[in-house]
Amino acid sequence: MIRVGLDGVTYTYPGGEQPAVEAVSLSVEPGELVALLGPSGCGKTTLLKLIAGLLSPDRGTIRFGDREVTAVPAERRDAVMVFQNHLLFPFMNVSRNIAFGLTMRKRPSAEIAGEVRRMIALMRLEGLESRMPSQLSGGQRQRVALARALVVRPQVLLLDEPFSSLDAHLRDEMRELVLSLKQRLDVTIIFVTHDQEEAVLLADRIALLFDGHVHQAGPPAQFYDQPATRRVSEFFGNRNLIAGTLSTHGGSTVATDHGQFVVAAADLPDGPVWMSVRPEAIRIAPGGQAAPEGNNRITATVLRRVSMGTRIRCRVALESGVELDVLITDLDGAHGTGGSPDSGLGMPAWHEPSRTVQLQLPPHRIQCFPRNESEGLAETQVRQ
Amino acid sequence: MTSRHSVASARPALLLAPALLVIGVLFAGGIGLALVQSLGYLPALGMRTVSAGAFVTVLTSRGFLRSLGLTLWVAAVSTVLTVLFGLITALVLRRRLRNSRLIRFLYQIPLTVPHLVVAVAAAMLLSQSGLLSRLLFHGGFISAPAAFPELVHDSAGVSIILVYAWKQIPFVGLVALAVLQSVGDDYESVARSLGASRLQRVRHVLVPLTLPAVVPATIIVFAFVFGAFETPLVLGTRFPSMLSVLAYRLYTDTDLTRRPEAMALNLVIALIALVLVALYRVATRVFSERRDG
Repeated sequence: MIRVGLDGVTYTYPGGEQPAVEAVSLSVEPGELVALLGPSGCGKTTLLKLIAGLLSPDRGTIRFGDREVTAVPAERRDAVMVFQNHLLFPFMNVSRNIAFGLTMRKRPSAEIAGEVRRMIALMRLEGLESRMPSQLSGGQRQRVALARALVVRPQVLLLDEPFSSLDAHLRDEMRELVLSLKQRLDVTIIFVTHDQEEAVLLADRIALLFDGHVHQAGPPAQFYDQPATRRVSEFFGNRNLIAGTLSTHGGSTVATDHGQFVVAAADLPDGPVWMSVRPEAIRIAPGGQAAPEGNNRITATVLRRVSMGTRIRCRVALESGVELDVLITDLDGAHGTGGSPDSGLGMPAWHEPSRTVQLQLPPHRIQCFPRNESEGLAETQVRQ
Repeated sequence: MTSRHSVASARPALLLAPALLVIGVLFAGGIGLALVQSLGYLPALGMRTVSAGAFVTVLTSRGFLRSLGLTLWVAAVSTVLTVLFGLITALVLRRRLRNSRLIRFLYQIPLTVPHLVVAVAAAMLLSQSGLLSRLLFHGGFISAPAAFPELVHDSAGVSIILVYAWKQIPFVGLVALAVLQSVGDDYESVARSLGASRLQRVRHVLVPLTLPAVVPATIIVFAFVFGAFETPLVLGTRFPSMLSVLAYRLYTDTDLTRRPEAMALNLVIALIALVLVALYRVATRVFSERRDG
């Protein structure tokens, strides 16, 4: 296991105008599983290739442990990259594909045979040794690709969207496999994904990239509880934004078109802000009934709702027209079964479309992001 | 319904029939006529006895064996040079060939020049009275034009080999290049990441990736040189000459009784070509099976 350290890494593709990766500093602890997350084109695969040594940075340094590897070519780095589409050598059978790295290192053939057998067993590939890649299923190919990478016992394993070409069921299986490998093998894993759910599921820590910059790095929960920017919050599925003005005189409050809201202390100067609450943090109650406990109450109208099996997602509109997502997770709770279930869907009638509901925004779940004076309600409505 | 269906399926055959008929008559007719004549049956010359004598004469004659040897030598050496330099140029130039129109154009020039032109140019350039020899003589590098090595009309067919290699290197190169471009750089990146050095990547990844296309191309190159005629006619020596030239000489011999020998020789050449075609089919099938399982 080894620590991977990036410091101010910048890379521009030949002929490119904007750097694909700019001033990225990141530290991955030994044995950690870190996800590089971001939309396509954000530079996450470029960053992975820089760590692998397949590209060399224009500026900045890359360290494996205490050793600086910035100038070390890929073939002599202790990092192996597994590509998105397996890329098994089509002219070699499974065994020879797995053996490739050891063959290149000119290891004795008895040792190679033993290591290949070990990998075949570890990856549950028994019986497929002499198959050609074209005779394997998608999941088998990706397992062979992983085996081919792990057989050289790299200190760092780099995975580039390794499961994106698999169907949902196989993807779950492969995720389980990676987690179990991480426990059994001493290897630092960095993987690239555009899927925030996958990142949250697998990673110890996530580095979220936009436009070649790391916007936030930290444990998965942080991206829900303390998103650094409005963009981070939106990438993690939160579209709920209310424009307001922050004032920190005598406790933090935000003045909005819907009244005054109490918020937990924000690290922002007084002035225009976006107030953001995750859909699952909003408490919701039937309209006529006594409002939920606490401050920050507002009235809203249900626009539509959809059952997600164990949860119900409601889209509601505030009086000003601002729309919010509300996720009802507590289906059996105090308000969950209030009223009679409506036909078919088994959802209570009180949050049917066009019903009035009461919302409460818990102060400690409200985040504030800076807002330009010019951005306002009108923009919010257009955006949504 | 059935009849309409069979008419529909017979349509391509019907449409192709005139072309097939012409090709069939010319081809099969030609081969058949050659076979008849090779067996010594030429009624116009009063030769009516059928025997395999001409084949025996041809196959056992010293001239034939020397010609066969020379032909195999020229075909083999030029094929090896072609494949070797075709692969090397493709691997070395692949990025430049992808990015630069000018380099791509220059690389393809040999393909567009007719063999005869190249052969005459080679004669003017490489013979002992040629341009290169005279330049070297005037430059004081050789004592006399005759000291220049005998590359044209020589018994080893050096200039013939050089002409075919020059003509066909871009052919093999472009075949290899097409494969390299279609697979992209990712296989090489994988191999690098797994610890393969530059030479190992070429030997263990890039060359094997191109083989399914290059091996059949190699057989085509060999077969082409084996049967080619105009370049050895211009650049070859009188004895031994390459098989195609020998066959032409026998055919145009003033002694018409040698006609069966000419035809027998042509059939032998055709047979060897047929074997090469069969080899080509086997090679392409083996590679597609290896890939698709």
